[in-house]
Amino acid sequence: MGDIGWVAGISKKDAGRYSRQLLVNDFGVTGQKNLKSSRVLIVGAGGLGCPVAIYLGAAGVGCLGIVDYDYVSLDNLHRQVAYKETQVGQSKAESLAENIKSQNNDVDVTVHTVSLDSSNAVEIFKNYNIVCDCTDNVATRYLINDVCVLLNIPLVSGSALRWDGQLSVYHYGPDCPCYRCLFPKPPDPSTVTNCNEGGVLGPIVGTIGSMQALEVMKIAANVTSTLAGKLLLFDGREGKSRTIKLRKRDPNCAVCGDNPTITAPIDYVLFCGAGAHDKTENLKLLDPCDRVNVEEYRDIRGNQKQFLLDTRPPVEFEIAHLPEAINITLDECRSLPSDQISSRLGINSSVNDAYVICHRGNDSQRAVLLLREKLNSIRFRDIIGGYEEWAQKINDQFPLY
Amino acid sequence: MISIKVLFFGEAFQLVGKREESVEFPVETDYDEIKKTVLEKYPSLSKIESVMMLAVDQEYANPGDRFELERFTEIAVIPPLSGG
Repeated sequence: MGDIGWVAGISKKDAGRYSRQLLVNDFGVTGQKNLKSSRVLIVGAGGLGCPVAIYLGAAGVGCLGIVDYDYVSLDNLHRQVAYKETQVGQSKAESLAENIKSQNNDVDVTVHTVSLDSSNAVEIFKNYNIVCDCTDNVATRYLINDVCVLLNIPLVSGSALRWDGQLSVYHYGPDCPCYRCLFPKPPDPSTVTNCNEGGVLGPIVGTIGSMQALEVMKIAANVTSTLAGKLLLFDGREGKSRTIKLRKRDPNCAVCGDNPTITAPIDYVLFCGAGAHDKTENLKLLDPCDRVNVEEYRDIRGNQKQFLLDTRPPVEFEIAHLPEAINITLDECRSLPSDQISSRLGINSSVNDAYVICHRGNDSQRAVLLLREKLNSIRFRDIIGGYEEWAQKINDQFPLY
Repeated sequence: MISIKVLFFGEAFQLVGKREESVEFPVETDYDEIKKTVLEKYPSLSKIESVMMLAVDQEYANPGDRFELERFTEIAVIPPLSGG
């Protein structure tokens, strides 16, 4: 035998670059080659999408697709760690693609700068063999689930809020449930909290996103112990995680059941009663005469000190508030008796007017409705658009968050 | 009756205000009775009633399932989480 021949399972370049993961039992050369031939779609380039994309790119996935219509903003950076300050204002999908390519130029990255909806999802998804749900809203979660079932693509689904995360693999194998098997009915929109309102810590999305990337690598490498049919619950505050064994596929499921009624994407905004984004809706619960705009309130308080009730949670009150504001949360407006509310506000029977403010002008309207019932001698009015509007129109030094 | 630890995840924690609490259940019970007992004790959970999963000893509970509860049985209330 000559000394210039050899049998190679993998190219010299890849062996060198990926050696540490080639050495891992049950991943190895086969896992690496499968990963290289995988086409993975990441929907949502936010807190979850960043670690998923960076880890899969670094691990040598063949083709990565990224769907996101949004732009990088400064308040994304604490958790969306793939982005740089210089990328604020730029397309998330394109910025993330750029960062993946600079980390591993061998990855083929496709960018879809669209808002995913029923009209475009099938066309985009059909080019991929694994999908990661890294989105931030219920409507898109149902859309992604349904399209994955319709095209028979396994779905690695992650979500996170505050200190908590959830992770599962849906529609992977004949017994594996889909998202709809577990949650056939969407939640009431009033019970859904998004990261804009509830907040989230970077390492929580980082943990869940990293584990999503790991599930993709396991699926690519045919490792059988995936989270298919299981739901991992991560409680970062207590440092605990639990894995729940889920139900089997529901034969009566509307999309993956034996006689499905959903055979093409439906109208998910209608189905969920909520938009396909995580932006806060502007409610109109009060008559215009029961509301004042920020300019009006500026003039009113300029003439005389006013009674201002601030309904935000204490963590938000602590960030910044107007000096006259008294913090009584929306929950307290609901639960406290009227005498306690008036004593905390410091009002007596001679007071006729009081104002209510919150972050964006939704909870303040809810509070006015409650307060009217409890203290009916006082005319409560809310401030339209809340502190966000105040910061934009009256005082641009007021801290926005 | 037996005292069983009930865990509240995500929005359920927000609504109840506690991560866990012990609740009295009949030793021999079923899915519907567990759900009814939890909702009676924590009426605020009615907001998420249609979407909350129940898990008994880390296993998804189906309507109709019967259970024999033991001292260390754990019941979890798990609504979906949608942020990211």
